[in-house]
Amino acid sequence: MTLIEDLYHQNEWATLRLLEACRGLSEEQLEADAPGTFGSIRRTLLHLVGADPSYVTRIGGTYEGPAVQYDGPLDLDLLAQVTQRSTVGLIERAERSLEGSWTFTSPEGEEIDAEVVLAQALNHATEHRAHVCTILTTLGIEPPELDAWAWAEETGRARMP
Amino acid sequence: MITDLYRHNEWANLRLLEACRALTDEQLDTRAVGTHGSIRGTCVHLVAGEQRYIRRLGGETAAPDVRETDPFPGFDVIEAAVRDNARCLIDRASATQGTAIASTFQGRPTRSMLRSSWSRRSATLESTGSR
Repeated sequence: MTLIEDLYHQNEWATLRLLEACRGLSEEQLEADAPGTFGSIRRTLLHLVGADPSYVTRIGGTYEGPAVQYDGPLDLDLLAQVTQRSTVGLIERAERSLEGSWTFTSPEGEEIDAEVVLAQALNHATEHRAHVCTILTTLGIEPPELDAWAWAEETGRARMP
Repeated sequence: MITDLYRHNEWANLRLLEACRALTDEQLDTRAVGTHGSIRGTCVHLVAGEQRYIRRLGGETAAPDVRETDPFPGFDVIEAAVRDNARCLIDRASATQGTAIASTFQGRPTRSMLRSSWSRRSATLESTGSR
């Protein structure tokens, strides 16, 4: 496992774990928000997961998964699928970046290095997961541990001597 | 790409510190539900955590140690540590790139053997975490 694979797999794991933690929430809880966060839990999850396919395709990658449905009931299974398929694309692009950098042109005409989007994908997800965790706390719900320590323990990457 | 990740992390931390410099003491001690603690305490924790990661990975920091248990060191000290941490983390990431070196170190009390790759990962994204 390379560091790049670790970075994106931990990111995937954390989002999937957060989606799991949100399964039991009521409609009212999904609509809750807190000061300083992005918006409601529902809106944040859709935004968080929905951005990843666009990150992949913006830098020339292939996203082979379902589209996020922004209307209607929150479909956590669908969001999990999008997360998993996006991760495949992000890892492929990140590994490709090791062979040489390239740029893409944004809709506004800016030339942007691909690595910027690869970094943004990780930062974006981390930031918005924290938003949801903050809202869960304000609801009196213990948020899941999503950092690399918890990931390592759950996936066997941390071993007692 | 790995260097970019740590440079972005450094840039974001420096930008945050700059935004905090103008705050009053009362504001720096403000807390909110669902966050790590006060603004002051979170800034210190963020930098102190990175210094611990570097030491665990066998690196040596040049900036003075920042500790959560000490009095607030001021933003100049924290900023110097942010810059030094970035240099050290990039060095550690480069040194072990692709080799998945197993490191034995004193980490969390219940876990003493951790692979260096995910310690680096945590250092990159610690900003919104708590450990």
